[in-house]
Amino acid sequence: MKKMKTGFGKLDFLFTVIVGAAVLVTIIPFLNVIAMSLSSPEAITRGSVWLWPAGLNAEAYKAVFTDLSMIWALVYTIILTIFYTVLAMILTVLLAYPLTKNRLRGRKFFTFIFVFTMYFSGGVIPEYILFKNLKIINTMTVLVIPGLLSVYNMIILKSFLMGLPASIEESAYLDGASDFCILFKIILPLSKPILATLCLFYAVFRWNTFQDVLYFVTNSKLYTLQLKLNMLINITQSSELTQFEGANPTRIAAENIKSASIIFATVPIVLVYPWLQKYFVTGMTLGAVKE
Amino acid sequence: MKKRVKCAAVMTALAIGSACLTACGPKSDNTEAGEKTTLRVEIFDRGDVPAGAGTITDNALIRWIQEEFGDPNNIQMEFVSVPRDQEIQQLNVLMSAGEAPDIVFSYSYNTLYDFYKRGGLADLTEYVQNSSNLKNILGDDILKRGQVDGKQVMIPGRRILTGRMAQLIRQDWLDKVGMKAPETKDEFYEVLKAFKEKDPGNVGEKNIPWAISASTPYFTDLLYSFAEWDEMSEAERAVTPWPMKPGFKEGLRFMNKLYNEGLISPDFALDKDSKQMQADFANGYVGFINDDFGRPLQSGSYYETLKKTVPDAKLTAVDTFNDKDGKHPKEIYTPVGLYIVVPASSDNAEAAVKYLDWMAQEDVLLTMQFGWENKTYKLDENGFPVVLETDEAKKLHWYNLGFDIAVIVNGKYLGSQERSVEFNAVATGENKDLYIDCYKNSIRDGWEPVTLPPNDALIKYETNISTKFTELVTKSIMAPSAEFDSLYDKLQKEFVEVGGKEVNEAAVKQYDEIMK
Amino acid sequence: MDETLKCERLKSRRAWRSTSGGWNIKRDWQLYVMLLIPVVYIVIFKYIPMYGVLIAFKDFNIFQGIFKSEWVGTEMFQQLWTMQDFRRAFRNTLMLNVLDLAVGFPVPVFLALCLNELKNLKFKKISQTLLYLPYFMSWVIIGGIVYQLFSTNTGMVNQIIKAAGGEVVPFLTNKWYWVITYLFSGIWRSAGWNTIIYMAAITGVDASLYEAAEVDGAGRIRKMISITLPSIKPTIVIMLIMQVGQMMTIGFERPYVMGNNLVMDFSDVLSTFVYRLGLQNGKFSLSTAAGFFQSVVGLILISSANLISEKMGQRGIW
Repeated sequence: MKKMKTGFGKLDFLFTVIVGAAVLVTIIPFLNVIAMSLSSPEAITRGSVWLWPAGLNAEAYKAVFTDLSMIWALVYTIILTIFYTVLAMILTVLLAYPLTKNRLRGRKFFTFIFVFTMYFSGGVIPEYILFKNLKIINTMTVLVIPGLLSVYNMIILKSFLMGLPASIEESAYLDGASDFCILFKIILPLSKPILATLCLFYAVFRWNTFQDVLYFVTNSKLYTLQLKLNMLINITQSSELTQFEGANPTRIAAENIKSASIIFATVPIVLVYPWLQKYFVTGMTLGAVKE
Repeated sequence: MKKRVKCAAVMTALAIGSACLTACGPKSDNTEAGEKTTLRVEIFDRGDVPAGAGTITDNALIRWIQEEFGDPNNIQMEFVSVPRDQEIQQLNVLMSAGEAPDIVFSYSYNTLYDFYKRGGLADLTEYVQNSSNLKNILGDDILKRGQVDGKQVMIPGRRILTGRMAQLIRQDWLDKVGMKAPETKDEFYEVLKAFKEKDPGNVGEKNIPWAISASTPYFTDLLYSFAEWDEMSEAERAVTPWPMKPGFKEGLRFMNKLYNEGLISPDFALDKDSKQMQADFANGYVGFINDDFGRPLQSGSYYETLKKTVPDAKLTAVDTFNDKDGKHPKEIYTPVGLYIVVPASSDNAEAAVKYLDWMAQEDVLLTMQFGWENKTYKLDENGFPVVLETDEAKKLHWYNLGFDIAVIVNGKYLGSQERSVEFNAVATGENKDLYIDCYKNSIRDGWEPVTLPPNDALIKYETNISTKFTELVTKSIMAPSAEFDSLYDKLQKEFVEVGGKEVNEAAVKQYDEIMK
Repeated sequence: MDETLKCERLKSRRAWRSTSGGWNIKRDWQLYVMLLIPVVYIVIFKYIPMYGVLIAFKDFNIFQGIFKSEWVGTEMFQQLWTMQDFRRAFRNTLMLNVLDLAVGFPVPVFLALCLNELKNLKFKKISQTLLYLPYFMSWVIIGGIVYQLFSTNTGMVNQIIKAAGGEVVPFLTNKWYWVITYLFSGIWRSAGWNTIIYMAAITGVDASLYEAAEVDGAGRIRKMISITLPSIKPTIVIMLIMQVGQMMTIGFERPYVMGNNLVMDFSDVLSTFVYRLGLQNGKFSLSTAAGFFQSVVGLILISSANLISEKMGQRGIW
């Protein structure tokens, strides 16, 4: 094996610059929000906060961290997300794997009925009636079960699985392994990067989505963090609301508290990917098969 | 009626025939052992319950309501929270699922009117007749606005303060340029020019004599003052869409002139949430603003920020958009706040009206809006409640809660409109007189928009014409002067064609019929 | 002995790879068991509520419920189609999505390739995390920043241009420039996030291929283009097909927050159009009809994209 070139060449420099520039550009919104969260409300109203705080103070964070309902929402959302992600992944794997098998009769039919639901859905009203009849309105269940399967994610997994060399499974099959066995002992360990990716997708989806919470949950103890955040911010977006409600506009949160809440609600989920990166290990398929 | 909706829900469930569906459960714990009736009341959820106060549906005030009203009347109160900015969607969903609360409300008359037309609202005439408190606080005029086909199907809440917009000008700038407060549009123009040329605020390029935003109410009063009222019939004056009223073009021409001379916010069309307008004002770049009459003066507002940025800033209330007759017409709000209804599917219409009637007493409203004396507020020398801003007090009662529970009034009710104005004025502290001036200006020569029951043309075309309206206004103002006429005429013609004509004809006809 | 064993293995292998043959429960029962739960799930939670699409064909009366409301057939669709704004919204949705695809699709792929080349692992890991941060900011926040940067007279970018002696650029007030700003903001927000799936795919590339290329004297760029890129081609194709399938859907927040009165001609899309329709009762049917229309077109699109890719020798989604 030839020795790999070490040292920092011209190309390395180029790639570093490209990535560095991209990072600098994309980091701006985040810096802006952080700056606002550490500024005084007046400075923000004046529009003088851009990438650096003005009137530096940590009042906003103090307010957020002492707000028990926010802390509770954080804990609750974390638990919900973990629960959801685990169940969702199980469901997705159980669905994707059989659909990769050409020999399965009805494969195309099953795939189609799932893809169909990506496009057609009944809407909130029938869903509400269904959930009401199942007695899951206003429970944690309604945030876990209904949205459990993302066909989009399933298709990604399916394509990935179909890209694995068939010879791996074949040898195991010929040695007498059952489908379940192959799936759990061979396929899944080889699929760590894609599984990690889909875990991330599901977790982020559950974390960020609040439309369903809005419609199906009225108990504020079951509000997810993003919903609380959304209510905090959106109340002020609509100046028509203010006008309807007369010249006694409802009290709104200070700008810096809004920004601190955004950071509070975002940092946990942002940290998931770095944590998952250990699964993005190369060469898993290497050497598994010796023809 | 309740059975009908219940049947629809059951048939829906059965029609699917899934093994997992249980039979339709009892419609919200209504009759428990036949003893207490449960009264379900909608309440807006703004997501801002203070820590330690409980939840929006279970807190000190709600417990008090149960003690004072629920228990003596053998009624179990249950509050159903609806997110504030999704209220109509959520309402639709709840009603479709047969789960609408007994007391439901909305600012949208059209939505509720539509419910009525579909047979979804209970007739409350009989109960309201017997509600002396309600009749007392609301009065005939307001109650009439909730009647359709002679039936009381809505109970309109009372809007205490009907003023809308008021104009403020930087007195210190006026003094520096040596001019007096403008009272006519011509004077207004001269003042703006002076502000621009002489830069009394010393802000250089950032100088914005008049700050506006993309939200049209911030300048429509100026446009409306150009209307040629004499050339219109009574119906046209009341209901014709503005781009079809004579004189509207001149209003836009005036604003176009202001824009092209750099006298108004250059990027106003992008400022959808008015943040830029407020920021400019708070930074001291602005000489004149036409805003919600109370807002700049309330605590925590950008007026306070202005004082911090420019300590010498002084504001005076002015009223300068005059029309040909020397009046200063301004759009004001109808005296109605929320429209309260009881769905036809409810069994508890009588209890509902009883609750509202109980609410319509001054001392009840006082507790609902302010809490309990010495615990959440103190009375000052004028007898006005002053809110205690301690954490302890907030656990018992907070600002928005009072607002959202006392649905029959919009604004703080203290016995009379004058007292409410004075109360607000006192709450603004040193800006008391300014606030009162602003309020007086905001209702001077005020005219109410006419609320007609929505006709078919309106329903069909209203999205079209409202979008076209904002497009017409914004583009006309920003057009280069030479192109103004051609652009306006083109857009106005489009306005008429996308539905303006049909809406106008239908509205005029409707108005004439009603007024006969 | 060996011969018979070999025969058995060949037969099994053929059976394993066979695509024909009927329901072989004996062989495949485990697979069907695996499918059972997802199928039950989807029947209950997706197909049972499916009757809601009927709203598009009825004059929905919330008091009568979906089944009892009056059937109006395609009247809602006809009404929609005659609305000028609807046709415009339809056109804008397609246009913006196609442009998003053309301009925005390659960027994450390119970024992923660059990230892969980074030697300093720490820098690589940190960059990856920082790059996807904007994805977590809602459009309301991004929109506020775009406004601060690009508004015509007070925006920072234009201030710089003015200071350098140039003319202000109407990034947000001229509909053509607006489209560019719109596209850029989308890339800005989502490119970093979209690199994740490609990074995952890249880790699956067989390292021995690189070694072999090294032996053949291939340079770094060569390796990137001839090995990495083709190896992740299946992933790229799938993502492409999925995105084509989304051509008719468009989020609400982005065009709403970024749009304004002056650029409505291009910024009004199906989602904002439905929002403007309002949700008073009569409009429920209209908005459901609009959604139904989008769904039908979307399904057609993804099927076509899939067909095309299969014809070109790439595996599709079925």
